[in-house]
Amino acid sequence: MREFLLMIHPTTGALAIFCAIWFMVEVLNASERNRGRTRFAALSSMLLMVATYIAGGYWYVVYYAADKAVILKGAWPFAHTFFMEAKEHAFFITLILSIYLVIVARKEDFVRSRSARVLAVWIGLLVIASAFAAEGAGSLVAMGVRMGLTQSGI
Amino acid sequence: MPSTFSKQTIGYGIAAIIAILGNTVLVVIKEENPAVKAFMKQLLYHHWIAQGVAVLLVFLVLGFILTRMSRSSPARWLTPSLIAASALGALGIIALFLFE
Repeated sequence: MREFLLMIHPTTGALAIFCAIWFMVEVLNASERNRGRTRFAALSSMLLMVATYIAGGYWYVVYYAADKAVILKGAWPFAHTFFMEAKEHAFFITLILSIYLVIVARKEDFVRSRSARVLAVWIGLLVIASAFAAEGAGSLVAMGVRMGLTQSGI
Repeated sequence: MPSTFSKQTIGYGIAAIIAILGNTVLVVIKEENPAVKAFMKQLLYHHWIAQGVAVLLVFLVLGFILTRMSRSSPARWLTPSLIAASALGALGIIALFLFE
């Protein structure tokens, strides 16, 4: 169960990135016909990011302490002291941007307003870049645990 | 031809800028003052939960209030300000844990 929980949040995070890319493609090809699809892409990205927040947060608060102890005793303590610390706090930027994405998608007319398209594409890019960085940091945290376990001969 | 942002985009945009920068300020305060971190933990079981709730509340409540105060306008500053706040917020957190 613990391992399953651990796998949920990077999966929903990756799917949220895909939906943000999909949203950007719809905005860059904005027309009267894809209005609904654009909003659905933004909403999907946000819901998946909220799921990432809940699943990742639950795992972090309940289970991470044991992994943290292994990392800190291993060869890669920076996997916690830098990557995990930065990731857990910078994630709130991604979360806020993905919620804001839905508001912009609902309230702006991407067909007629260039400035709305520019804003939407930039928010999408920021969500994608920050979420990718979190995915990368997560893999370094996992490697930090592995290094700790290898060193202790487990 | 609308080239203006809606009041919701402007109101929640300003709220997003404040929440993102506020998140970084709160991380710095929390990491530099163990008493603040302990207080946050006492408040909501874990300091990270308290941080998330605080940042989301700032964004949603401030966004609601600022939307009521805003008017539809071109707001050319909105996109560059949001990009700058996101970059500054992220760099602040990276710098804190890099040099701590």
